[in-house]
Formats: sequence, C-alpha cells, structure tokens
Amino acid sequence: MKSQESIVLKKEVFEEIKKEIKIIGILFIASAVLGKIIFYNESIMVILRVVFSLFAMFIVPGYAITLVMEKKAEFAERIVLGSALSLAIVSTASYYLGLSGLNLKYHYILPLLLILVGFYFGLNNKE
Amino acid sequence: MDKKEKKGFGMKLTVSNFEYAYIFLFLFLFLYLGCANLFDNKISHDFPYGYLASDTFQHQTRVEGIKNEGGYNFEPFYIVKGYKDVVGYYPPIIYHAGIIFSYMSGLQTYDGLYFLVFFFAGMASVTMYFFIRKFSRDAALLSLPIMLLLFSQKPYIGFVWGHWPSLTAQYLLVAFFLAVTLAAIEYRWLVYGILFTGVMLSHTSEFVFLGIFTIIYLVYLLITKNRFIEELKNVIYGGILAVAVSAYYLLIFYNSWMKTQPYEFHITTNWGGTPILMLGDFGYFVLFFMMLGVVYFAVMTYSKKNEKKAGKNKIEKEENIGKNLHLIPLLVSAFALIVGYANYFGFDFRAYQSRFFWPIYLSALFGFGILIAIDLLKVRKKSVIFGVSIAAILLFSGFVSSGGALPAYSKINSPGLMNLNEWQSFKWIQDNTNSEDKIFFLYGDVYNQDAILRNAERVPFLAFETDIIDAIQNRTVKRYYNTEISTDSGAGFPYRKSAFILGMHSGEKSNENFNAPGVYDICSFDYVVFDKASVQPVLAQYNIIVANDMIKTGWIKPVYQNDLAVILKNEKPGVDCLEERSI
Repeated sequence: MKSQESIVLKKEVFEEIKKEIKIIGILFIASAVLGKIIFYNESIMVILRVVFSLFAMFIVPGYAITLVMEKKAEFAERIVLGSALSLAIVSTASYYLGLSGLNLKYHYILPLLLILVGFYFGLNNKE
Repeated sequence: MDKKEKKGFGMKLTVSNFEYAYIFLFLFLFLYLGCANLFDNKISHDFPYGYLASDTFQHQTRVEGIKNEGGYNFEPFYIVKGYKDVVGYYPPIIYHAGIIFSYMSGLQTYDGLYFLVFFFAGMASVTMYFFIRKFSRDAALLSLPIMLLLFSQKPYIGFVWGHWPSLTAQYLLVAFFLAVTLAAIEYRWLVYGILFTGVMLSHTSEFVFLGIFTIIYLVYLLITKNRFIEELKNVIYGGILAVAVSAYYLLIFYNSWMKTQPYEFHITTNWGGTPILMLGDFGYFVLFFMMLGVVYFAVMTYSKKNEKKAGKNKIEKEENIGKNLHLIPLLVSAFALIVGYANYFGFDFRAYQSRFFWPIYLSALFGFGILIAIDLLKVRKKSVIFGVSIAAILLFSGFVSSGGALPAYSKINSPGLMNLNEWQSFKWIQDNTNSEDKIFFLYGDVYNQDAILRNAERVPFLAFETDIIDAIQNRTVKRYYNTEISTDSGAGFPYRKSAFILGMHSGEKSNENFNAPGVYDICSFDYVVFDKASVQPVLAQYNIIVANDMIKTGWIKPVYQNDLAVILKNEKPGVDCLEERSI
C-alpha cells in the first residue's frame, strides 16, 4: 500500500517537474527571441550560446537546488532565488577547485553537478 | 494559494501569466537600456567595448589573468608590480562566474564579465519585484519602473566605471531580502549561509551592510514577537557556514585589506571625481511618492484596519510571511538610507557604492506610495495598476519625456577608452614579448586610465604626462622620465609566509626599490610603446621625435605599428640610445 502511494506521489512530482521544465524551455526560446531583438547586431548563434549559458549556469541549477528546499514558494520565486544561490555556489566552488589545481576551463561541469544534485535530493525530498 | 496563482507560467491567460510576461519583458527592457544600447546592440566585440574608466580594466585584466592561470591562487604579476607570489586578494565570485560564463558561451572574458554585471542587476530588479510582491503584487508592479533609474546618470557610473564586485554583492543582498520573506522554504539556514558566503566573496564591505540589515531584521522580529529565536538560529548557523566556507579568503582579507584600509571613524562628503547619487537626484515627484510610501506603512501599522488591509493582499495572507511583518519593505528602505549615508560614520566611499542600488532598494517606497494614491482615488483595478506601471516605465526609460520633472534613463553609447588599434598593440605585446620584458609607455591619449595598460600582460611603466608636457614646453627631448607603474597596490601586495601567516610586500624595506615609481631611463627598457596620433597633436609629435631619435641608433627598431600605436624594440637595453637635446 505504502509503495503504491509512493508511486502515485512520485508520478505527481514528475508531472509537476515536467510541467516546470516545459516552462523553462519556453522561457529559453523567449529569451533567445528577445535577446536577438535587443542585440540585433549580434549573430543568432552567439545569442543562443549566451542564453544557453545563462540558463545552464544560473536558471536551471537554481531551479534544481530549490527543489530541495521549497515547499510552497512559487515557481518564479524559486527560479529567481535559485539563480542567486547558483551564482554563489558555482563561483565559490570554482574558486576552491581552482585553488586546488583544477584548471578553470573544466569548471563548466559545476553547474551540471548542481543540477544533478538538486534533482536527486529534490526528488527524494518531495517523495 | 488560489488556482490562478498556482498555475504560474501555465499556458492559460490569467492575470498571473500576464504579470509574469510583463516581468519577463521588463527584464529585457532593462538589459536593452542598460547594456544593449551601450554595447552597440552586440554582445561580442573585437576589443573591450564600453569600458569607460580605469577600474573596468582592472577587473577585465584580472579576470583574463585568472583565466590564463587556471585559478586564483596568485594575482597576475602584471597587476601587482611584477611580484609573482602575491596571493589572489580580491573577492573572487564575479571573476569565477565571468570565466565559467566565458568558457560556456564562447565570449571573450571582457564581454562575458561585463554582460554578467548587467544580467545580475536585471535579476536583482526582478528579485526585488518578487520581494515586494510578497507584501503586495500591485505595489510590486508599481515599484518596477523606478528600478530603471539604475541607468540614470549617476547610478549608471557604477556599471561603466567598474564597480562590478559591489553591484554583484548587492544583487545577492537583494536575494537575501527575498529569502527572509519565503517563510515556507526548508533548510533556511543553508540558504542564508549560501547567500552570506556569496556576498562575502563578492565584495566584503557589502557583507557588513548585510550584517546591518540582519540586525535590523532580527530586532524587528523580536519586537513583533515573530519567529525571532528560529530566525536567530538560522542566521547564526548560516553565518557559521559562511565564515567556514570563506575562511581561506577571509584570512587573506584580514591580512591585506583590513590592514591597509582599517575602519577609521571619519566623515567624507566627496568621492574624488566620482559623482555621488543624492536623494535629491530622484526629483520632487519621486520623493513625494516615496514619502507617501512611508505614510502607507505608518497607516498599516497604526490603523485598526491593519488586519483588513493585509487581508486584501492574498499573497501575504497565504504565504504566511508572519503576522505584523508588513514593515519589512520599509526596513529595506531604511537600511538603504542608513548604509547610503554611512559615509557620515566611517564607511567612506563604500557608502556611496551602496547608493548605486538605491533605485532598487527604495523602489518599494515608491510603489507603495503610488498605490496609496491610487487607493485614495478609489481606482484600484488591475488595468489601472498595469497602466500606471507602463506609463511610469515610459517616463523613466525616457521613451516619453517628462520635461525634466522626473529623472530618466541616461543613454550611453560609446566604445569607451579602448579602440581596435590600441587593443591590437596590446595583443602584439602579449604574443611577441617575454613576460620579464620591461615595457615603457610614453604617451597615449588613454594611458592616464592606467589599468588599461595591464592589457599588455607585462608590468607597465608609464611616463608622467606632466613630464612630457614640461619637455615640450622647454622644447627639449628627454631621456629620463618620472615614471609610475600601473599597479593595484590597495591591498599592500600580500604574500604567504606560511599557511596562516601573510606578509605584505609594501612597506618591507627589501622591496622598496622593486619596480618602484621614480625617474627611469627610456633606454633601459626592452620595448617603448606610444601613440603616433593624439587629440593633442603636439604630444604625438613629441612621441615621434623621440622615436626617430631612438631609431637612429640602429639597434632600436619599430617592430609593430598600426594607424595609432607604435612599438619599438630595444636590442641593447641600458646602452645610451637618446641624446637629450633641444627641439
């Protein structure tokens, strides 16, 4: 019985996250379009890479880590707060990894790690 | 939370969705006004673009140096007079964010870092919006427009003159404001700890400001008997985490900045040549509505209708910020004024830096002020709120002129101090000289913003402009020049003596003569760099006369030149190469 409840809950959580990821996808496309409008002298490839980097460094990791800590906060609030947290976590971790000798050119992995950690603990937390 | 709220960014057209779209568009308007216009509507450039002061180059050259080294163990030697053991002493957050962003986006660090500063400011304004929204969505919508004044004349200086670490720290400070209102979040102490760390490692003086706000906040909780013990614990645990995580940097900070620039009580009322934002710069109309905002909070506090008014605001009720905690936006504004005027109790120019963010910190007062006016007129409807917000955006962004009644966006569209020719000459030096080579900069129009010279990635020796002018007035060609070394000496050149003990090169007798400013022989350098064109042609002519005399030796040759810059290589440094003569 308990495992059935858990499966139902898990499904609900996945559905919720799927919906939110879809919204992040829409935001990504909208950002690329608006980015191209305001930076109209820039190539679309550069715009896409910049928008991708902003999402990969701040928005998505921020969203992922707030999965761990949110209960009632709105999606938009979580994205906003999470982006600031992501900046602090990624840069601080990068600082220490750099000091320890791992060249900065490999530090793009940090936001990805944050995303994985956020989803892992976030999903467990929600269950 | 009602159904409409819960849908968030869902597909159905609801007030919430319209609101979110509005905020999203605002963020891009913010970026358009702040950086797209400044950057000539491009993100990537052939050289550092839109850099208007020496400090911008200080950050740009440091971030490039850290990227080249792969870590921030040490300062790039060319920033610190040539010392190779000076530990990285600047708060690192913005540099590391800039470098990772540069690698991910493919942008040069000079473009990526600068863009991020604007992005952070944009996120700060959105974060502030969601903070105010916890108390009133209508007030938040009305608060947004004034945040565009971040790009009015004086605050804009924070961006184009290079106060980037401070602006980044203040973004994280605003995120802390939002965090304290999210009563429902778990691991609150962890969130606080991460933000405390971020602020501390972005710009340490803002951490003191954060401390001031935290004290104000805790006292408020104590007075209102609201979660005081719980929040005190969160702050203490968060603080312990932040100190532990930042310990490595704090040790450096303690042994450098705190020794060279210790806290001293004194009053300052000027900031060198930097214009200071004053409350009066907001103009009478804005100040009037800010005062109305204060009235709003007073009414909310003392009116018996308090409960009823708060009840109007579904968000406050549902999110359970806490009973009687409606004054938090007022506390933020009060905090902004306290730290903004901290120049009267010893915080020096750090107080002025905090004023760059006044359009964000004080926005709540403005928003609530307009809201009370709308309430008095009894026209509070969504359409009116959005209408007034849009109208204010048009006015503050300068799309519609207020005839000078309101402050507005001040457009800057300039390539800045750098140009392609100078940039290419710096790149040539980077690629074709040895790191130990001594480079002498004679005269260039932009050389007086001396951090620009660190783009050579060599220790830059720079002739005093006054010395050259004296030579021209005396009609002589000079060989010996009063010379400065472009360096960041503010932290005293700290270096590690042992794991926990740091020394400072500055003030040590054994180092007194190491690349010290003084009179230098132009013949002693490996390379001489100068501009052959200038807005003051006589200075360029002098450069050319000196260069021609040096070339006559036969062992000094031009090795690089373009339309502006010339680089001479001296094959026999130290040998007589120039005869002082009259022109």
